[in-house]
Amino acid sequence: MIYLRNMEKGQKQSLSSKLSEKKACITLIIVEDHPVVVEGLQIMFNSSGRYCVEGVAGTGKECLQLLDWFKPDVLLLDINLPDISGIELCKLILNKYPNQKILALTTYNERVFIQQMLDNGAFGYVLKNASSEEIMEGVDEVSKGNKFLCADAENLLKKTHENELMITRRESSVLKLLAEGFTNLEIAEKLFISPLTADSHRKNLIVKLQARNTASLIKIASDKELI
Amino acid sequence: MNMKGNAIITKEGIDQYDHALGLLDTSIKELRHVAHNLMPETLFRYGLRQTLSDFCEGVGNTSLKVNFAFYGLEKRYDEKLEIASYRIVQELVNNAMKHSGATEIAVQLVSEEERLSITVQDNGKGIDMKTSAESSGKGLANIRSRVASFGGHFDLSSEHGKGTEAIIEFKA
Repeated sequence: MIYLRNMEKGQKQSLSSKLSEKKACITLIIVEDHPVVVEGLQIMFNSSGRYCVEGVAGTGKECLQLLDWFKPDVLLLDINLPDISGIELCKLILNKYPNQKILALTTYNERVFIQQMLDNGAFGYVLKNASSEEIMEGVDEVSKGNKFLCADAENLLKKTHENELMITRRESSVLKLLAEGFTNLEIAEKLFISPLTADSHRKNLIVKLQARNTASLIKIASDKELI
Repeated sequence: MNMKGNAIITKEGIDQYDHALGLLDTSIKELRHVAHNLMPETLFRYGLRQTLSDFCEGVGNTSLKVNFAFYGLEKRYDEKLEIASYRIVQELVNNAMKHSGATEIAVQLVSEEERLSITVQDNGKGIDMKTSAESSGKGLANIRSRVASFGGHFDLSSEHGKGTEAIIEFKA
């Protein structure tokens, strides 16, 4: 599926930019392999009157072909494409056209995808279950050169429970016994665990508290009032 | 998506349309969930830290919080080891969700140059270690053999009423 209004190579760029100036609409290319979604988006954008969908590409290859002819104000980019991941494609496009504004529009609601997309230079990330108002707001913001995340994507990025220091029950017991000077073997006996397990806990604690060895582990743990 | 701006659709049509869209949304989620369980693509692309973090975030709900913490140096391990580690965490977390009655599960990944350790802790009712050793739940036996096949070390400790803590260590 590839589609471009006024598909005359050469004329395309000037014609279309004149067209859009006259209508003062935001020009779009949709990169998406799912016909129903494309149709829905086209209806949504065209009926609003503020946007012109100038082209549709169903694959990464088609997308790059279209961009040879025409640069939209905003490129809507899906992640799940048949020939390339949208995340990679985003990087490719921006290598070639550093000023292209890209808004990711996808069902992938995982932090890693959002992060990668933004790292690769996308201006915004909107999930497909966002409201049409939100999608259009995203296009507006991105066309102005602003960053935009839909509410769900923003929440996903915010939610980082990572890197709070959490000490497990066993680790805490091991830590206390280490501080009292017991050996792995003695700790293992006292806690009814194998010496290997006691040692695993000790090693994990050293990494977690960024200590260099057992002695500095005890020092840091006592500074942090863990013992 | 909301395309009700298109006036041609009748009110009834809109309801049906919304319903169909809802069903589609659910199926997509469902499908991705299945695919995720088969083999998470994040694992190959981004490694254990990101995958476990996503898994913990996705599996939790309002009555059960699943926290994830990462410590150490982020590196990629042997593909088979990464898959095994992911499966083990899945199994341990699923066990805790099903049987422990816990309200909180904590998964931690400690990653070093030549060593990889995983801890899964819950605040549930605990396992009776005697009966569990006898009946030896299939899940636990499975984990033991998986860990053993990579030359790793697995230990499970539990106190009645105080939850369960599993620790795994691999030499990477």
